[in-house]
Amino acid sequence: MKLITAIIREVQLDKVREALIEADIKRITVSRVSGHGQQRIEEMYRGQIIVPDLIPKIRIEIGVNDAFVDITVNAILKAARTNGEGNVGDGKIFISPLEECIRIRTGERGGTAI
Amino acid sequence: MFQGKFAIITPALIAGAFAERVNFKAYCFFIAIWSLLVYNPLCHWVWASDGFLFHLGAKGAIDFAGGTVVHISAGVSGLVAALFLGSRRGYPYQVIRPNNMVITMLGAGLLWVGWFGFNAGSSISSGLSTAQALTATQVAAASGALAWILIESMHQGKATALGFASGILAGLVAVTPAAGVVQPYGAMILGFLASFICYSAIQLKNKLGYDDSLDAFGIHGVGGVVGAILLTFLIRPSWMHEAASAAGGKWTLWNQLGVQCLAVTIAIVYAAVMTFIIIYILNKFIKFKSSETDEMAGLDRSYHGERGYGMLNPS
Repeated sequence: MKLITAIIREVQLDKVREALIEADIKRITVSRVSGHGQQRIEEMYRGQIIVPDLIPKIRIEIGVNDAFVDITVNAILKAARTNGEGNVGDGKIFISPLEECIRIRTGERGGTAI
Repeated sequence: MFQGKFAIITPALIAGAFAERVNFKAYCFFIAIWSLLVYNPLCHWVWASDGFLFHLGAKGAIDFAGGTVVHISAGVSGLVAALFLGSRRGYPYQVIRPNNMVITMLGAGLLWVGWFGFNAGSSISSGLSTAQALTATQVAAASGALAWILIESMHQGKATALGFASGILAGLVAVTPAAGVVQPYGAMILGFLASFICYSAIQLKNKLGYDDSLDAFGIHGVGGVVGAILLTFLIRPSWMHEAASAAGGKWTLWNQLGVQCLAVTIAIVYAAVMTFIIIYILNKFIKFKSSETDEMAGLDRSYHGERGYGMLNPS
């Protein structure tokens, strides 16, 4: 079992969710985060050029069984990349091993609980 | 200046129908052209001393504070624009709730109090008719709110704050044409009926599936029609006597009903047709609907480079 954490642009959330639902990945957690990698935005605000420090992003967390990792990652990649070849700031996907998954309602553990 | 306030509020109402999917530049042009070509003629017909609706029938078509001029025209124009633009992305299966009920309630409170200026001020005096209009406004708003809560809790099990605000609005809109000519019991009835009919209109909108973002047509359009027509049955006797003497002896409420219906029909048809023409032609020059990427990113960011709401993200 793996935990897939994807950090994407806010604007792409709808597209990524639709792509995931199409790939039959329907269990998801979404949160708002701020951060940046290489991305640096320069904006004009009230006549001055400013550089916002932490940039708002969306974090998606999905727990998947090993068989579904590739499907999920490909769906996210295709949907979260902006304009075909992508731009700096499109985000990252982290895959971490998921030690245990427990369904609270029934107490099931393991792959069937995902 | 006071009448200018009515002129400003009408396009603001229209914006409620197509929130979140209209191009800002196109919208600015639309307001300017719409005010000139739709609002001003309607306003003149109903309120100017040489307007033809002002003289229709014995004492004119009754529109005390702008039921036809403001609410029906805005509601109908909003509907035409909303239908032209199509729905927001994700409507209707994605529920798009108000993001801040506190601000909505604040707004409803502001509207309730502001409407006293709207209706009572339309008496253009400070005397008996002002007090009559004020009372009618208060009673209609309260009865509208109460009616909506009762209807909603019976129909859907829970009375919502948003429904409360909608009920207030429905009552206020319905009493707008009637404020100076109905007695308080009449205002109460208007408020109740307006809530009932507007609630049904919104259910109908859900069934028909078009996207009227803030129910501009559902509440303002329908409420305005309800108020303008049903007030005929609730006019105070002194007004009817004056009308009868102005008409040379006899003026029944059916005569007045004819006058009201004609005024309402003219407002609806004129607003709808002109709005469609304006949008159609404007769309040839500037695309009226926002692009999909702009809409998905949120119009605040795409068109204004601003965030409407802060503190959502650590910074």
